[in-house]
Amino acid sequence: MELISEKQIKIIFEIDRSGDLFRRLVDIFETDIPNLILDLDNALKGEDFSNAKKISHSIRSSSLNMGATELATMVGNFEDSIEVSKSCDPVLIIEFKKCFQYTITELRGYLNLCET
Amino acid sequence: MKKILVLEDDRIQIDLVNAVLREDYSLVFANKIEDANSLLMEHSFDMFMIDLGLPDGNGLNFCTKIRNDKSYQKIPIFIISSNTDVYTKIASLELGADDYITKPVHPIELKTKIKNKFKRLSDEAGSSNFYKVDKFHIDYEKRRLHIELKDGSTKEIELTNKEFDLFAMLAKNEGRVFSRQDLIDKAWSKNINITDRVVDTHVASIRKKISPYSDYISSEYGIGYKFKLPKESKR
Repeated sequence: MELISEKQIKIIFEIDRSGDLFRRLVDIFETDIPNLILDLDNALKGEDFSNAKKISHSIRSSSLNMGATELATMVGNFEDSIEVSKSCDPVLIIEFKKCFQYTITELRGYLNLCET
Repeated sequence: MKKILVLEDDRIQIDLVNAVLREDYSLVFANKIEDANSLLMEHSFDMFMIDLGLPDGNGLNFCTKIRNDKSYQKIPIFIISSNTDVYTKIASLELGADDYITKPVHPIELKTKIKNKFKRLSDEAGSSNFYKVDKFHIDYEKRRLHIELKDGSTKEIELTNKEFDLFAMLAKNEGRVFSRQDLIDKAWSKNINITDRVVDTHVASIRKKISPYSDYISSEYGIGYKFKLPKESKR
């Protein structure tokens, strides 16, 4: 599975060729997603599965818009299963964090490319 | 400029929609259903763009509320969601949404769909230059208003251009409350500085001219005005 959808990145650059929009979106993504993963972790620890589903939906929505395909798929699968299973392997949160780190590094790479 | 209420909590989606549509439309954002409900009291909208997963509930509840409200029954609703479940799409359309667009949204697709929707609405409205509501006959092409008198005859009411615009807008949207700012936005150019008082003066003049039917234009305290049929005339 591809980590990032280049097609989606191109779409963002089509909206604003200067790269300002993309830069702003990467900043928002970098700020919001770690907070949401933290909220998700807390919701799961408190066994609040309904809230966990909502939070994972938000992570998936932002990820899709940023072209973060792998993170969107991982969280999407989790979102689909959480209400049925009512449980979560703690390793999953670690996996989300890792995937987010890879994703943000890659997105920053695109930013550097457009700055050079 | 058409005004769109965007009910969305994802900051990235908000930024994208703003970047794509801000030149062509006036956008008002709400990130909770509660905020959207408050905005409905202050503005009138030409379109709703609704996300489903919101912090205080499902966007479909807001969609249902709008469709059950007489003043918003004909206003287009686009659902924009990352939920790809076909049953959610069907439920949204059955509840009255005009379209269901899955994230990530392609900007050109979104722009085109909105443009087409407004064009179709405008074509439908334009196909009839004549509108009758209770005692009032509005001829849009000739910009004339006639009222039916009690003896069955009709009388032409002479309205100024602005008065005609205001009256036609209110009458065409029977029951819908327009804030003074909405009326200013729709009847005057955006760049002209018009105060609420000017709207009140125009409405007072219209009321005087359409006498004995002045009560059809009702003041909504703290908000603005609406065109209201008397109970015995309800269609």
